Amino acid sequence: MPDRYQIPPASILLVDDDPGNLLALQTVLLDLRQTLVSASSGREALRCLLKQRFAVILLDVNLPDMDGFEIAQMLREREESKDVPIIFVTGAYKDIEHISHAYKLKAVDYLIKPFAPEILRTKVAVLVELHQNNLRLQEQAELLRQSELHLEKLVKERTEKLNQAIAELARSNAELEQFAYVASHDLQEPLRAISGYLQIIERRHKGKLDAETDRFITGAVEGAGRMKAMIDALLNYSRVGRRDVPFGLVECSSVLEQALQNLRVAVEESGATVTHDPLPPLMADNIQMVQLFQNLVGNAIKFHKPGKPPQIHISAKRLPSSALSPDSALPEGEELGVREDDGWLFAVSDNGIGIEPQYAGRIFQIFQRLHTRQEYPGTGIGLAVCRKIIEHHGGKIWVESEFGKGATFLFTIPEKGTATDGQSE
Amino acid sequence: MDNPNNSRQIEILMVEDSTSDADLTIHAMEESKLLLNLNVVTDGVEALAYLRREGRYASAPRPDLILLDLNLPKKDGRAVLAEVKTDNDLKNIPVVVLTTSQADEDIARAYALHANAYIAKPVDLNQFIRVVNIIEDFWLTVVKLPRGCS
Repeated sequence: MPDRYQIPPASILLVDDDPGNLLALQTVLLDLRQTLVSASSGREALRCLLKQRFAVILLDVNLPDMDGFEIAQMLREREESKDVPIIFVTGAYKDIEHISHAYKLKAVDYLIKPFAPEILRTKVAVLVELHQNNLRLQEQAELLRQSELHLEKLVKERTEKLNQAIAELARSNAELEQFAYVASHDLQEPLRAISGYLQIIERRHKGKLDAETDRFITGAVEGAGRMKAMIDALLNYSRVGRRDVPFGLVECSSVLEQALQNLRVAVEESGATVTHDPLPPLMADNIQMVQLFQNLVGNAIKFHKPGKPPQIHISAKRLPSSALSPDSALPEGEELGVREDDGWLFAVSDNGIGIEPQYAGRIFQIFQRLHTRQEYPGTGIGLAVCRKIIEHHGGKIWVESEFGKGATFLFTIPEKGTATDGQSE
Repeated sequence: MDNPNNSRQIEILMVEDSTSDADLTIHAMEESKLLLNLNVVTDGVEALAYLRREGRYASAPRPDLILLDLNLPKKDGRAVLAEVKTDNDLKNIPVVVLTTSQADEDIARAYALHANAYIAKPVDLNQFIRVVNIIEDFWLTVVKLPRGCS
């Protein structure tokens, strides 16, 4: 054991009514460099024992006021001294009765004079070391207790901080909720006023305004309409991830069917062909999954090459969880030995205009557009919503594309989709 | 048309704090073929005073239809709705909630408080006019309502 703690010298009590014997004991034990305390009567010995703790006691059996056994008996009855090692030293009582009496009092030894000083010194040295090791142990136990207390205090403090953070989060969520409501309600009223009054003016003065004024009014009304669309999109975006709807079993093929149903007009107008592999069931938020497929397929239709009908294909492949990140190599068709937390890699590929690689990250940010509204209409929030939905399900989304050669949007969804735990890279 | 509602002036109470929304509604109703009288009050306290003919509303006509916004100063539309629908004298007046909110909670709450219909105000004027015309058509022409007991 490394001696990290400064252990003070141990005290050894020597009890003998004969000053010559005491001196002899002191001489023998001097080399141990411990503190030697001498008592020449039972009473004096007891006084010493009340004042301090001893590593070992050398006790003469025959004392004038009380015998050594009485003292030992008293020590054993006190909690503080019941385990203190006692070595009886006697020149008088060599009979077995006395010896066995001593051992019944849990004496560690019963030495009969004359004895070899070397043996006494060695025995005492062993007991002193034992005592000091005990002290070290006690000290370490105390340190341990203190560090446990410290740890408990830390845990308590952290828990308090965490609870505060949770309360803060709940408050800020409630604030956001309030903000969203205000945005949806109060921001739309002035918009309606702007476009409504303008349209009333337009109706009342139909034919009396010049073409440019007509165009201005139309532009203002359209602007209000776009603002309304953006507010709605922003609200929709802010709601993703705050839905407490528990995930349920979702059939991806019926989700896709629903999304295509919602996109029916766009599909028909563009002449798009949408095909898909067998798609798996997932634990997910049904409404969000419909929105995800609708946004991705809708984008694939919207960004088609002029004069070339969109061809869109959706595929799904099983993945071990370790591969659920865009940087990992994807093992081919590992159907066996899948673990519970494995997931799926989906791909939505099109033959559209594609995306220049330097913009591949930007397209998932809110209100980021790569084209003017005249080229491609939209609020610029669809893919941001997709990313939020995927993150809400614990997955990742990214795009692989070569400009002019179509794009493939890839996303992962862990089998046990969780609301918070994104897959680490 | 032999609708009995057609034979007299139809009273509509609009509870609306937004002047512009009230103007748009008035504008939409200008084109109506029905003989409409639209009264506008701007908060929930006024609305209940009007309906109970208190103070300066002592001679207010009993409305055939209430158009109720939800977010109002003083007493909001939900409280007005709750009071109207638990008042034996008022509860059979149809209440159409006409509000900007499309929040599920607001819709569910309004029907739980026995709103007769819940309509979200469109931003576009043409759609707004269409909605007001549909309200008129349905509630004042198609539907048979109990005779006003004023």
